[in-house]
Amino acid sequence: MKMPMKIGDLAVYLFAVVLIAIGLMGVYAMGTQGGGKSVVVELDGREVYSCRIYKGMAPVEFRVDAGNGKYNVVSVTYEGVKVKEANCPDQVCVKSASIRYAGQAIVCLPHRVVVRITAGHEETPDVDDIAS
Amino acid sequence: MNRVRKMVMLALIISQALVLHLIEGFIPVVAPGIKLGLANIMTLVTLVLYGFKEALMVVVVRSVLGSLLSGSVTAMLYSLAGGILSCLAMGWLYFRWRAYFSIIGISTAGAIFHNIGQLLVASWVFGTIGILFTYLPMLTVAAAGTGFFVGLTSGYIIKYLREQKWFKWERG
Repeated sequence: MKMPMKIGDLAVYLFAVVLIAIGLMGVYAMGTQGGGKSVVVELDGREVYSCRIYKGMAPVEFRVDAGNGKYNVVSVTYEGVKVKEANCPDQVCVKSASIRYAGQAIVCLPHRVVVRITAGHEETPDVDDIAS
Repeated sequence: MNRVRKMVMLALIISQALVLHLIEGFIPVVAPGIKLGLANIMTLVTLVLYGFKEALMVVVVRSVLGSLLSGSVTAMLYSLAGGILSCLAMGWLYFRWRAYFSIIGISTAGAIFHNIGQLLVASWVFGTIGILFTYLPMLTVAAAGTGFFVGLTSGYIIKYLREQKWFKWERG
């Protein structure tokens, strides 16, 4: 069966190229506007730990104590943030892939812990109250 | 085609879209957000054979039911936003600019707008526009590829259905 490509299809692919360019420029613009990223850990909706992420930083590992012996061990490197170990029943947070972009988050529902990456150092917005 | 026949055909199309939607969930993805967009095949077929209103209905019903069966409320939000935007784009291209676009081009545009819709919702949910920029290039490259094959498949299905004697339609 003949399904010839038409002139408009070229326009669609051109549009795709433009979109890719916009995306790359956006990433570049955000990367250079300074501020960088930070990782924020919230326990029950309260911020209990935060740390900047920058190129060449030394890997950090810390333990979040969620009370009653519940804990999550979070490891922070420039390449990504992940929950290394936890004693929660479902282990969803440990199995989550490591996160590295602003806006991404790892949630441990049983311990009410949220590990998220924010752009810059401003206070986190009031959306996604997942853990509370 | 009488109303009952049309209703039955749409129901069959929706159930096929639903199955494709669910099967897609089993296929591992190379990167977050990249999917084959198989369910889009049925949207495109409906769009061409029945019309815009019917295609939109297929998308909405498929998204809602598919999310109920496999995902969460957030997944439904993503699915709906992507599906509706993609359907609008494809409908606009098909009914206004049909002379200039092949089915492959329309399908690719639909895949691209599906991504845009999902990324807009993701940006809104996470409260940062950064997600849109970081994922846009990767997802657009993927959409160009998957859109091509979805368009090809839809073209064959549409051709097949049009050749069938039992399939009488009222629209071109």
